Amino acid sequence: MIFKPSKGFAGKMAKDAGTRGVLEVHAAAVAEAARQNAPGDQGRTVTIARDRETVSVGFASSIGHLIEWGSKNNPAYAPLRRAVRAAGLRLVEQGKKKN
Amino acid sequence: MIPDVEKLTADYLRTAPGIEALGARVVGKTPEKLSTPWIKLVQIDATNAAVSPPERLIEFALQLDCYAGSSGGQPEATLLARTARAALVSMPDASHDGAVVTSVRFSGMIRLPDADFEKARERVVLDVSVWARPA
Repeated sequence: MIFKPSKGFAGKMAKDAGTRGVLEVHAAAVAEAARQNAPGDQGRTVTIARDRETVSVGFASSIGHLIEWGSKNNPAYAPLRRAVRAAGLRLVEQGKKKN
Repeated sequence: MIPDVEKLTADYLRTAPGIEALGARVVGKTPEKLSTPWIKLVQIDATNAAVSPPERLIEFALQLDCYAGSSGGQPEATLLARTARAALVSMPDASHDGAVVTSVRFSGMIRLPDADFEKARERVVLDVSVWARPA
């Protein structure tokens, strides 16, 4: 008996209907928490985006990075990072993967 | 009562040899003097660790904004962030007033220049999780 790794296994799993369902549930929870954590009316700009393999939560706002990380004049509200933790997920910060 | 890990970490970094050698300040808000490098350290969260009774072991999420001085640029900001990271890794081995630090992990380190300065100031943002409990 020989074990042969399945090429593209991760991609196949990401497209699986069951996996997508779990991703959607977690994304919805993170998005809701981020909306509550965001200052003022910025919560309204929290969006969920989807592609073939990922479900992403982010800000549809030109100042989203200021809200998340802050600046000289703005505090770091960190709504997305706090939302991930509140949802019980492990936070790993990395750039978007390119296939 | 949970320890003040934001203060504890700032105090620890201020006396870290690498940080002192760079002449960097560790502050809680943007300083008045911007010519020399600084680290702005803020706590963004403090949650109960899943494997611990409530309010015993806490995961403190800290954000360190490592800014270059007025002429240091990207190399200075990057060096400051890497120096801070190297110092923080040793926190569990050190003694801390009123607290025991059990683990330090990093979840992000991004180069994000701060455009709120007239000329964007080089900055590296370091996300750190410090697990600590009362001594």
